[in-house]
Amino acid sequence: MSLLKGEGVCKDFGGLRAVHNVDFEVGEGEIVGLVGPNGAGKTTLFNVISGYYAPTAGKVRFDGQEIQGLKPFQICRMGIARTFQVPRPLLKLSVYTNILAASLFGRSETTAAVDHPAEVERIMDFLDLSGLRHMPAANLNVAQRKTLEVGRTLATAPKVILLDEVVAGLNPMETDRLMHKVRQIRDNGVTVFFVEHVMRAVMSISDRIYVLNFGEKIAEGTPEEIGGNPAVIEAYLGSGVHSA
Amino acid sequence: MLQRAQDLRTWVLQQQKWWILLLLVVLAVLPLFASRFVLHILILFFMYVTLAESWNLIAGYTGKVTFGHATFVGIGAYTSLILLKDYGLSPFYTCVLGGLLSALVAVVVGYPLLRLRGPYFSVAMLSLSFIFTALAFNLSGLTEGGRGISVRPFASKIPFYYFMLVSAIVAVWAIHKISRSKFGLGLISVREDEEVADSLGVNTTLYKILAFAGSAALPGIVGGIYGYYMSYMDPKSAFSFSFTLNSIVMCMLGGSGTVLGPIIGAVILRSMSEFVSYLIPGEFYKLLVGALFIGLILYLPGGIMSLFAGKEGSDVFAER
Repeated sequence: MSLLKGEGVCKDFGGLRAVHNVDFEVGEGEIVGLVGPNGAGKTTLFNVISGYYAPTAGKVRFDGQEIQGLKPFQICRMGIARTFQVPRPLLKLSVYTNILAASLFGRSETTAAVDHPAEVERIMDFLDLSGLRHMPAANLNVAQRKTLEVGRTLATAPKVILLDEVVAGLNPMETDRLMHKVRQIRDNGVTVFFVEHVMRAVMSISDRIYVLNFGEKIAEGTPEEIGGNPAVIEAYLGSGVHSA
Repeated sequence: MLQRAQDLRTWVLQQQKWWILLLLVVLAVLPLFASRFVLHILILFFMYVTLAESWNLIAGYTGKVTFGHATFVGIGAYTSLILLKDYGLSPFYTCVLGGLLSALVAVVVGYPLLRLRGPYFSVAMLSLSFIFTALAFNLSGLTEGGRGISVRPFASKIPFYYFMLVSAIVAVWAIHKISRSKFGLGLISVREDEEVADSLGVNTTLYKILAFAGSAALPGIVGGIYGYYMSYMDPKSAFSFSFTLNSIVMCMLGGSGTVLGPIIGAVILRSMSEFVSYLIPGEFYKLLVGALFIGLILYLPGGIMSLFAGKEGSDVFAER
């Protein structure tokens, strides 16, 4: 059974149909990419999954349970953690405390007692953030902020993480490093659903990819299938180009 | 300058238990020696420490800046005086009931209004204080309207001194504990970014309401003590905007979102008030406070405590 599943998800903003009738499935232990041109509805879909928007129609299931309409904090505690496209650290707080907050609040209330400081140390170690522990998040650069976003999701002991363009704006070396971490996160048992524009990143680590355009799903498949899909090429490059 | 400030901070931290104990002993025995004038100054000082600390909880820690703090002072004062006069309840109970009623009002108005962001919440709270002023004028069966409500004054200042002292201690102690707790971290997350706090699992609605209720209960209690101390309240004096303004300026002058800031702010503002009003009678003091506040916002928006924060900021959770 899929861990995260969308059935006919729609989200309208007034007359604008941002997401239209999108079905998706993310299986446990998968890395699934979500791509599409700007304005395709990717972030909107993530906002629906994570509880920021209630879908206009359709259902989102997590572990078989319907979650649409729940509040973000409830969805987080169930095990779906997200990052923000533009990193939003708690600016006055240190790297350590940012992750601590996620650990203290983001976990399911039914789990056994957790040694939060130890968890924070483990996550900072894993993401090479330990040297920055006392640094107020306001002083971090973009790559560090993006890494901190990932660290906060991990501190909530998630089953799925939704990563919204975590490598956009990073240089190729930073991109490879973070993608490598994402793969390790999956290998440690966390399912990954991620929006990304950096095609090199998407193609290299995704098991499967969904493509959105104008709010609708236009393709899905393995990276190889997507790379050769005419509808996808048209969406990105316009019609007539692929005949050349 | 910065280095010396940090050394001072370290030293204060090392010695602080003893200093606090000494201070409490001095404050506890002071009424045996002090004149009525000194007691009066200290009673007001303790009240303002409580008000500024309670404003600190909702505005400094939670980031919901309110311009309506006087509402809760007024509710406390009226609750207390009405219960004293019409029902003969002991002032101890009336003050506690005033605090509870204030907290209840905060929950009821906070539930819809704490969703508002930025200036909208601030202005909504300002309107709330106007509404309550109007209520006090118009519900004359209960409040005796614009004539005001008066009770027989209590001769000694000493009980008021201890009541206000205990309120201030409770306020400072509570803020100290909260600022280092999980609850406090939740409030700070809401202040830093409400949506992010939500996404990290903080029940932001509940946390905001709890913080607002707490920040309303304290003015409700000291408002009750103050009302009995003055033995008279009319709508203008009970819901006076100066309670709000003083809370804000004291808190921001010392440093909002810190435990000591509001105390420092209250010391400076109350001393200024007494000295300047003594030297130059009239409204000059208000001019000075206004100018000081503008200068503060321009040059030291984090307040005096920000001078002592050091390069690692004021994050108390990472220091452990």
